[in-house]
Amino acid sequence: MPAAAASDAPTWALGSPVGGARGASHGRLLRDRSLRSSMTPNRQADDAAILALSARGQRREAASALMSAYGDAVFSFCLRQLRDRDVAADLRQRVFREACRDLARFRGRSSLRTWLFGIASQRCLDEGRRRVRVPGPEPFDALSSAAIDPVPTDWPNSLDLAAHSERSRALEECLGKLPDELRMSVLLRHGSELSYQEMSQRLGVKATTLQARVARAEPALRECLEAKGVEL
Amino acid sequence: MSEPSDDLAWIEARERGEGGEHPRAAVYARLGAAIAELPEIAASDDGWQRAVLDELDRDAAQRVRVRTALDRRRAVVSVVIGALAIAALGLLILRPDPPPPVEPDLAYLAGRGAELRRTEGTVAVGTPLAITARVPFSGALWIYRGERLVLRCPGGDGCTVRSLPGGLALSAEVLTDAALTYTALLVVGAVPPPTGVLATDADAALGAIRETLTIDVH
Repeated sequence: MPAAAASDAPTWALGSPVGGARGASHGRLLRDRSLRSSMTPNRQADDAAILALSARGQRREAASALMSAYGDAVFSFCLRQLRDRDVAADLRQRVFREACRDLARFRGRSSLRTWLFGIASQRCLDEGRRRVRVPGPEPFDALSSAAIDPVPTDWPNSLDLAAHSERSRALEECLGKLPDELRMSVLLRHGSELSYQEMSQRLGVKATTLQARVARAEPALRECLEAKGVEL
Repeated sequence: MSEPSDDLAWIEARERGEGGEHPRAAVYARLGAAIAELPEIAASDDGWQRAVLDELDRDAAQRVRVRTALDRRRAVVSVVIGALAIAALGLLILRPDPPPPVEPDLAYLAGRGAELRRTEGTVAVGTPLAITARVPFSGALWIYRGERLVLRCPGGDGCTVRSLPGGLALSAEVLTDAALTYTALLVVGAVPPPTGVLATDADAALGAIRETLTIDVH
């Protein structure tokens, strides 16, 4: 147990057991399709229904179903990445406008969620570049929690996290302290089902660089969580 | 317990699919799962779906307008091209056959103005000669004073050329200023340009000479 975790801070265990699929996936990350097997049956059914509507030319119905199914996921990703509710909402609208326009050309080489996260990651990257003049985190020392930025002003208190457990809340807070590029890499790595190759294509960054970013982000997150008394 | 730098190296290897045993392997697996399972954050429904659908409708309407305009333009272009093609085809079909090349013909009149008259190959010194010829487009008229070329037509001074269906009408006026024989050669086809000497030119153009006119001036 790290020293920080021995303080009076409440201790929450990350109790969720490592699922077989996710736990086992670590050793086969370079295989593009491996992570897709973790797609839930419900999500597969959603995708199939949306694509069927699109194939029948019911463009509006397909778009509505797509937005209902994945609107919150895309919003959450953009919000976690950019930490600005209005910007995240605006980006969600742009992502779905682009996706709905291109839905008829979607060939099913990935899940719709993966496809949407690919688009969203690009739009978030664009937005990050646009806001490049806004001061960001200082250069990041991967293994020193002291190097992690102070929590941004109202993050994550500005979120409606009523539904979050204390564990998730702590994780949101720690994610918010990561530099943008590390946060995007680790969110995409664990939350999008995109392969490194796909992430690389979307973000214009080498796969090895993305792997290195994940390798820097995870120990920092672990230390941050342990410092908050969340046992991993 | 491993050092943090070990963690970084191990995670990087794991992400390359090469990760082996590590004391914190399970910890990082749980961390990854926790990130993956972060709850979605619901945004307030500010009518964003309606806005996206409206934008899609506007895009679709715009595409229809553009496509309609393009279709109209394509239709106009197609009609114009079709009309031009039909016109070209009509021209090809209806174009009259080219006139046959004119038959070579060579003649002369002696005198001037109202005194122009036919003669039988002899004229007095000082009598102007009006030599006329009809030739195919490849024809030419060469006029010699004795052995020397004095006029080539078309191309020479005192030569007039008029177009005919299938050829040219040539006319030249020559003043007979010495008691010599004046010779006109009408040549047709590819011949070497005249050298200026009658015998040489006649030999060179032997196969191409269609008509010859000889006028003795005394």
